[in-house]
Amino acid sequence: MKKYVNEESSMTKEVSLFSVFSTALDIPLSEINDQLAYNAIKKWDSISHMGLIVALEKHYNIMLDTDDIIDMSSVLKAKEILAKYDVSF
Amino acid sequence: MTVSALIEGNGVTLKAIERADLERVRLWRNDPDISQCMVSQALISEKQQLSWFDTISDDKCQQHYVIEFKSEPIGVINMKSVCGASLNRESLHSCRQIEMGMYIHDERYRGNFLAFCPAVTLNDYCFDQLSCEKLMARVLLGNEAAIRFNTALGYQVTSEKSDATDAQQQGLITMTLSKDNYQVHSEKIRRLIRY
Repeated sequence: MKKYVNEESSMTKEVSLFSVFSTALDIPLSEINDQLAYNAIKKWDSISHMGLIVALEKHYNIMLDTDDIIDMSSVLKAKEILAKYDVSF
Repeated sequence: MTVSALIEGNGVTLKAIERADLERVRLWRNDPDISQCMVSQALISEKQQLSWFDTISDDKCQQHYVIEFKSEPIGVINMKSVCGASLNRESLHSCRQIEMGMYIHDERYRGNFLAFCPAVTLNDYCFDQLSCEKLMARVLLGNEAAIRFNTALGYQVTSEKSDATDAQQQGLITMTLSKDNYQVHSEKIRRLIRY
């Protein structure tokens, strides 16, 4: 498990995460929040999920386990999973 | 070689459907969430299910598997010879084209990236072990999720039929997948399957 090192503020980190979601899923930044869930919107399906994972791995320079890729069912869940890779919010 | 009753790979296990699986599979298949994506949406009775099982048990042209993930059954995947030739490779007229079908019943994994794991596992088996040349899938025209899923695997739409009398008149599209196209398209999926 490759982990992440960063010292941004919590707020900046959250905006940064939301920005990755916004770009990868092609959704306005204003629509990204913790409750946004996989499959709840058309633009976040199994196909766009792959692009999201690639974007997250690139942004945080980490490599997610497949179980974590499968379990990443919401933005909030993404935060919990990323915490395992030392990305805290 | 004869078609395997057990195929493992990419974090999932594909087990040939047995008599003990029939009722579970029947209930899955009759669930409106699943049946609405099927060409035939009629309810399946216990008797029909038994009759279907008797038919497929002796049929060398098709194989149906229960998909297991972390030892739990989550869905069904199947393959059928398109030309009517046996799926077994030692057969005189080996099958060149195979039709694939799959559904994930477990809500936790429906529409999830996990669905690529059994698809890639059986696709690899068809191309590499059965020496199949082309895969085929029939999808309801309105099933955008399945069309996008198949497209991500490299399938291309080869025909559209809009005069279907079943499946609520939605029409069907036929998608086909060559080995070359599959190898190119599945590469980015494989990079994320790290089991």
